[in-house]
Amino acid sequence: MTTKATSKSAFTRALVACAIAASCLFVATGARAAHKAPGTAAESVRGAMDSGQHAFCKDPPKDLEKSEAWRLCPLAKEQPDCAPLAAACDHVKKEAPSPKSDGPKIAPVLGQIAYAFTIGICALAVAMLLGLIAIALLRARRDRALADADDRTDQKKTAAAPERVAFSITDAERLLALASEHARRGEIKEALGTYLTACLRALDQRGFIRFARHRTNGEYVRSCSDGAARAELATVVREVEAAEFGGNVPSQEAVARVARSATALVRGIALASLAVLLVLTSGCDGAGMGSKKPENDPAGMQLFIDVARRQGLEADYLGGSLGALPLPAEDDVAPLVVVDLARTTLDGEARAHLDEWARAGGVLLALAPTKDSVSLVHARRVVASSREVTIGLRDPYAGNLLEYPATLAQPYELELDTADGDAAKEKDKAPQHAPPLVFGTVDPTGIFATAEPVGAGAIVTVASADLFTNVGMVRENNAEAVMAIVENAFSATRGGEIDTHTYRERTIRVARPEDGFTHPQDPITAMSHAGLGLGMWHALAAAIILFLAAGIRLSRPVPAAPPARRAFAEHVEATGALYARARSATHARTVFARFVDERVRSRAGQKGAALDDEAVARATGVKAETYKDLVASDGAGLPEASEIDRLRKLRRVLVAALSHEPDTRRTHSTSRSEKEPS
Amino acid sequence: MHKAVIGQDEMVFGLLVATIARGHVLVEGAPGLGKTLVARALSVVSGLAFKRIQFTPDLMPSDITGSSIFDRQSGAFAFVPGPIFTQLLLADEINRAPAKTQSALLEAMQDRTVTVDGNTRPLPPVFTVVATQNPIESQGTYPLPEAQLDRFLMKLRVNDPPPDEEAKIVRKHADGFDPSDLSSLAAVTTEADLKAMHDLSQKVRVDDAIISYIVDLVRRTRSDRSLELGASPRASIAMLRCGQVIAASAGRDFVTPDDVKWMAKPILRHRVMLHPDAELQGVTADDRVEDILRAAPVPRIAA
Repeated sequence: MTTKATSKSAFTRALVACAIAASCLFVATGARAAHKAPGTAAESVRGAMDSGQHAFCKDPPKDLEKSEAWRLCPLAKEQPDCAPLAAACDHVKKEAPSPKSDGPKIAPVLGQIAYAFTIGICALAVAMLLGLIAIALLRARRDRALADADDRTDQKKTAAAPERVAFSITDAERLLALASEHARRGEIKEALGTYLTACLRALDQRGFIRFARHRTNGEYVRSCSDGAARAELATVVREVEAAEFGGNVPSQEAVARVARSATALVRGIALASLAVLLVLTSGCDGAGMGSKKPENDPAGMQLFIDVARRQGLEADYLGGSLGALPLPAEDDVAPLVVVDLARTTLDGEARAHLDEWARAGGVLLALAPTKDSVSLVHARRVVASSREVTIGLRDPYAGNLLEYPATLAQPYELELDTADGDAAKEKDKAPQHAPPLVFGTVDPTGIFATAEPVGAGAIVTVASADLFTNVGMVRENNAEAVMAIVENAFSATRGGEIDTHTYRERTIRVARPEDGFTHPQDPITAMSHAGLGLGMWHALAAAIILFLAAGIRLSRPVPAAPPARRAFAEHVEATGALYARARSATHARTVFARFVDERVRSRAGQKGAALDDEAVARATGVKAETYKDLVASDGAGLPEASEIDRLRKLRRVLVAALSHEPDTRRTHSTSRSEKEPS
Repeated sequence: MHKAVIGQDEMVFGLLVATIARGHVLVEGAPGLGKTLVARALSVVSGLAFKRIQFTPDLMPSDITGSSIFDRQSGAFAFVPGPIFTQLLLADEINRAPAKTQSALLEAMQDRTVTVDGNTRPLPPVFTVVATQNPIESQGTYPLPEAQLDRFLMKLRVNDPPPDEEAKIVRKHADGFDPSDLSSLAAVTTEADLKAMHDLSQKVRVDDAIISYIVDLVRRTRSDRSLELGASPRASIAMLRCGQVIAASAGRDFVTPDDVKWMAKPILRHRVMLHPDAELQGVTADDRVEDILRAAPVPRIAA
């Protein structure tokens, strides 16, 4: 029993061990099968083409770009299954302009014109905005002035109706809701008025009428530029005016009719707008967009992506801006980024970021670069004599050099330098990396592709993008050459040695033409990217200046502070001193005394009448005898030196009288006594 | 009327409104634009008695009102009525007569009576003066006094016809049309019809908001800085009457702001006097009235 159990256990263990070994073998085989050698790429191309997803040969786009047609047509004509594309090429080729046209020469001029035009538009917009603000301020002032005038002249009763809440709401839907609320509460007239306002707002927003406080309903109807809306609006206006001005009591049926018409008008317009928007959108994304699908584009790279997937790589489009590629960390494996620089224009930020990204460990596969496209690419312009190129790939296992011949659409026009010059300096900065590689060759002299380590990463440059295009991939042998380039690129940072572990992990990301632009983070950056940075600041400065100018012009006048004046008493005193110097002190005292007496009488409420003792004492704070002595016109006998002293006393009396409250009680009683006899 | 008159819709409509509203019309325009023809055609189609006075610098008031003439047979003075005793009076080129003669129409236009030699004689119930004048800038003209202008219900401006209408006019004349012979026109109304229309228009409802709107418009002419003289309350009444007639003609029994605004310019343009500064700047009365119409909010249901 024990022996049987032991043997059974041993059998189970052996079975498990076999299963583990088999699974390990399966995993290992799977891992090995995850990527294929470049030599199997032709099979992948056939599989991809047989899937029926790629229609660039049989159903080429009608708006085939002329330059692409010009470049790719030789390849297309050599493919037996690409007769429709070849026919399209024949059609386009007749009209294809020379690649050396005058376009680039005109472009800067057009750019300047566009820049000036944009600045003008911006300035016009700012001016219009300021004009509107100024008009609004003027209107506000005028309305206020009219309102003030109305108040003064009791015109309030005959003034126009006050501003309504509904009239100031601009959202037609909200007005409809408000009108429904009025109708629900039984406020029929208000509901009708609000329904009408909703219609007017909706039509105004659509541009059929122009909403204004001074326009009559009849004017709205006559000016409505949409026939159907005009008829509907006329119906609403008829019902509303009958209730508003005709004194008719509107029925619930009338309200329902108006509500229906208003709703149809508001929402019908909204639906029409939506329909127009949809039509426009579908027009943008309809046949035109369909014809530009990557699978249908002869110059696209969809077939390359599919073949790479079938070869066991993870490949897809980048799906974002090249300027936003995340910098790889030290131990990260960055994806291989493929950029067709003939189609993808890099802005300055993206270019700088790509350089930084490559130094940080990324591998950039740059196709058809120009002199300025990537700063780390070293190239000079030559014209090769042959379309045939050969890609070399060192076998990682056998160590021998494998050669993959390929055929381009056109002889390439760019010869690549090995990094002897500037790149050598870069190499000095990063001595831990291997020397530059040259793996693409072409007879007799040119170099078709290079791989150059840069920092922790590398830039692989291919002189032409023809091989990577959909048409290029279909050509016999080209797919193998392309995959050889890819394998070279993966090994570029390791001195040509292929690391299968790294190879498995690496992925391919293909940039679309629009990925060369870095998305701005904010509107100001967007304006700057559009070349409007300086113009924007100019416009802003002009707006501020104009706004301040308009504001100063329209601001309420601030009453100027009255000029500083000497007190009248001081003035009289100074005048008295003048009189004293002129030996007319007596005259001055007499005049000032008369003035003081008049003011005291006026203050005491006894103008023209004799002042009684009580009034004098109350008004001036001095005794009646003293006051009489002070204001006595006869100053004879007084010594001259006392005149100024007399003036000062008079001034004190005057100040006391002026600071004293006027005797209104006495004035009122006087008025009553005057009235009583009558 | 379009059998005789081509185009000039605004003038024709204004004349019809004024006739029903029992107002008087001043028509201003360059010579040869059909002012007289329209007035004559109106008299024919409305079935009203028509007389025409050609105003000249030597025209005397008695030439309009009539005068008492000694009758040798009866040995007494007998009143010989002037051309003013009619239903539709065409005062052609009214500004060619001096103010004294123009003023002979004042009493007739306001009170519909004529006083001669101390005797006041009534005019027919339907009495409309259609005065034409050339622009003031023309030589040999006397501007109408403000009191006279205020008595005109509206002042219609006649502009040059558009090219297509002018071509039709020429074609009509080429086909043998004779402006002096309006026998092709027939009366479509009678005096009684006009009276009924007038009575009906007066029953048209006028809401308080409409009255406020009218008063607001007229008062704005008085507070306008560019205007030295604003419109009088007579202008308010004129706007009310015209609004009623327009509403009735549209088949409504109530006046809307649109009815008021429709004829506001013809009613107000001759009742306001521009400030000299504004006149020097080239501003016209029509411009100011237009601005006032734009500034005045239209009454609406408060919500």
